[in-house]
Amino acid sequence: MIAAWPMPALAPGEHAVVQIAHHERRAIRCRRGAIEAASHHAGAQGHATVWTAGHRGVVTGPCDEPAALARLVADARALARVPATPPPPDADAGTASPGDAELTAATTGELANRVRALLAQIAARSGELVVETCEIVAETTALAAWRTADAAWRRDADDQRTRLAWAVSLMRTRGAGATALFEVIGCDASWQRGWARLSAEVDALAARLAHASSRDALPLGNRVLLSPTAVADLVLPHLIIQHHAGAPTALALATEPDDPGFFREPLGIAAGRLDDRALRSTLGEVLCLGRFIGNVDPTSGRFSGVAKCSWLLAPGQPDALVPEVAVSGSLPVLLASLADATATRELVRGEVVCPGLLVGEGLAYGAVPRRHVTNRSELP
Amino acid sequence: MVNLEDVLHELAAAAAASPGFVELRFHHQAVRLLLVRDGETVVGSSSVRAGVHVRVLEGGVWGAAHAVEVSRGALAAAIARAAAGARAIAGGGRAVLSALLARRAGVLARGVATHPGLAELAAMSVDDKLAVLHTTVAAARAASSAVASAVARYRELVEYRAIVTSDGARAGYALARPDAVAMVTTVRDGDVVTHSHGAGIAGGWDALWQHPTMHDLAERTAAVAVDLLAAAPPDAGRAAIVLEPSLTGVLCHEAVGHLLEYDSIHAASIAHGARGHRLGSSQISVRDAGTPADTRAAGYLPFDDEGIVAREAVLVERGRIAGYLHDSASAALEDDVPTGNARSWSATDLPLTRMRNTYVVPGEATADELIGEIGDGYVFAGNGGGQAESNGHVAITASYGWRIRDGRRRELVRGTTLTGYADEILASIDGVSRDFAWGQSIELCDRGQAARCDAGGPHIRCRLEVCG
Repeated sequence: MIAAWPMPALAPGEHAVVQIAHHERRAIRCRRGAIEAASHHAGAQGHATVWTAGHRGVVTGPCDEPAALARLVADARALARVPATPPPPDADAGTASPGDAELTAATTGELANRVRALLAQIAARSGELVVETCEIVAETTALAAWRTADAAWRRDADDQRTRLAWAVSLMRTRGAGATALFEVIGCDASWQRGWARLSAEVDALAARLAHASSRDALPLGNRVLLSPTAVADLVLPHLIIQHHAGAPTALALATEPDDPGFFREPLGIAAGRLDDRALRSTLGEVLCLGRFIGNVDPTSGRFSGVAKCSWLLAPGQPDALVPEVAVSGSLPVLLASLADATATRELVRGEVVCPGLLVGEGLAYGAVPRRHVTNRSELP
Repeated sequence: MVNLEDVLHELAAAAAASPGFVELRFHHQAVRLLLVRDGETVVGSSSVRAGVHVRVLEGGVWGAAHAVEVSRGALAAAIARAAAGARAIAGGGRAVLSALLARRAGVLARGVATHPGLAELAAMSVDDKLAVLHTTVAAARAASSAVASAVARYRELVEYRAIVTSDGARAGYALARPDAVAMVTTVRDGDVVTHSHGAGIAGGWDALWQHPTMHDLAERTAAVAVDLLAAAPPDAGRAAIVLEPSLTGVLCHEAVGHLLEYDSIHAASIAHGARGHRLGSSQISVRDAGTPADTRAAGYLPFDDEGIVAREAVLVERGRIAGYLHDSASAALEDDVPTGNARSWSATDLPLTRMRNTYVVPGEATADELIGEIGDGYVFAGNGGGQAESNGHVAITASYGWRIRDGRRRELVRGTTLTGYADEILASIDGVSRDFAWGQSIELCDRGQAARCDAGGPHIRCRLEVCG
């Protein structure tokens, strides 16, 4: 029905791109081990970019009828202050993606059953693992788009995307006499893949956490592998700045950062040749840094902060969890010492696609010492 | 402009027609973003999100749905979808959710409030706002020949919110939360530094520029960016540190606020069941206020997204855990009264337990006295954000600082990350000054959905790991 909407009138010389994204989202939330809420939201959001008199304006807003679309175009015209020329006509109208029919058809009850199965899967792996909170989201977005070419509106191809995301916070408890010692593992994970892959990933994560040893101190001199999440947090913003400053690196494949509209292509870093076998056998001891939090000077690349949920990998030994690693260094030096990238890449937070990066220099690290076990029973 | 009385009338009619407990929450949220870089406007955009979040309590669980418009037909359909969702997950809920309503009596919000500054911002043109950004950039670029680039960004969040619940909440508010930041890049002899400074408040245009003024913002940011070219990073390791008020705010937000958000507290968290236990030294007291005396505090909130009046929550009193941040369900679990901390970013978000304006209660010392008693350490300033985990690990980022030797502030040092475990950091606090300032951060707190919060306090002295 949206395809039949009348397009707003434009003044001579004006150019516009409009998109309408109809979004449907189902979510199940668990807290303290039990399903607590189900939500189902559906609605349409419109986007308009208008080029007029050598300037561009960008507006998004609710869009459930033709009049709303006309208002968006008028608002974008009124806001046009950024000097810009219209993009050249797009010869390729794009190809529609099929989406995930299984996910699109999932009901709230089916989602709840999937969540119960995932929780049982974790519990079966280890009684020490507790799901602190979790939320599963299944969403489908259908996109309709138009653009002007040669002073006339032209319809772009429809597109559709489905996404399954599961965010979980796990804790590991370990008994030691009368005092319950515990460690907290802040694991946030999301996948843009099907149910079977999600189940396999959950199983692998639970097994790894259940069997991991722990390290509060780190020997110096380990090789360092930045996980895809650490690359997204620490390296990619610097590469984007360098790219747009006119000094692109071989690794940066950035799109325009202010490219407006829905369905933007994710930023990415190319994969390398490093496979799991090499990581676990031929490289010796490797420190794999997890999610980075801290301070990065985006222009100089100097950084300091903490890598959360890191792992020490050693041939023939269980992976050792290092909950917090303090790190500092220089990204230009670090990137100059780049030895390889992993052969597989991950979509991080649904936004960027990154491999792991194996580096040799430019990064100093040390485990953040925990001076005593912090348990509520030990609080005075 | 949105007529909140009309919205409340429609929401109340829909709620009255629903047989069970229903909560109807209207959102209209407009964000305008303007950005000027080196004399050129590079971003001018506007985004609006609106709708009604409908939540139904049935069988001990919540079902939620979304109506795109405020009409009785759309609201009735959303209530039916929400109820169907609750029935689809029934069997996994807790009796406590059914009992939560008893704790809400007496704290339900009523009435409509409009925060100062909204009309002022609406009356001001885009071009007038852009002109101020251009002036800011020009002032920063003129400050030194070492300035290679300057950026000024203005963001304006205008919120209209209304809520009606079956048990008697009926309230609305309208407020604006503008923020502005200047970012300056300096270059000298091949070295490069980028430094930013900004402010975010609840209020209007004039209130935003009270502190700092536009000219202050440009000059201060450029001056620090120039001085940092000659600065070295601080040494890595544990050190005695004085935090200036905005960093005190970040520390209490991360080390106390997140730790005591009850919806994220599990049985294995150090904060669970720890009321009355000592979390820090006797010098530290922390509170979270919805409506502080300074109405410019960026997290100002008259009531929360469950229709509960935003009361002040006492979190830590002289070092001991005194209470938690609650939504209605978690308050029922603890047999507490809800504190008004249930917040959601948009009409499609379920509420989470979130902070509003979290602060450390001032003490008796002066900042100079705190510094004067340190033989070797640092003063850190400039809020660069932070992060916390439920095991108590905390990391906060300082934009810059100074070395302290023999009780005196010495050379400037570059920004760094400060880290440690909440109970250790709070136990190490041995000095709290009597001054006070809100941090007025431009950052949004992110827990999967955003929230505009503020945090502040006096200068405090403690021990932290410096990442170097």
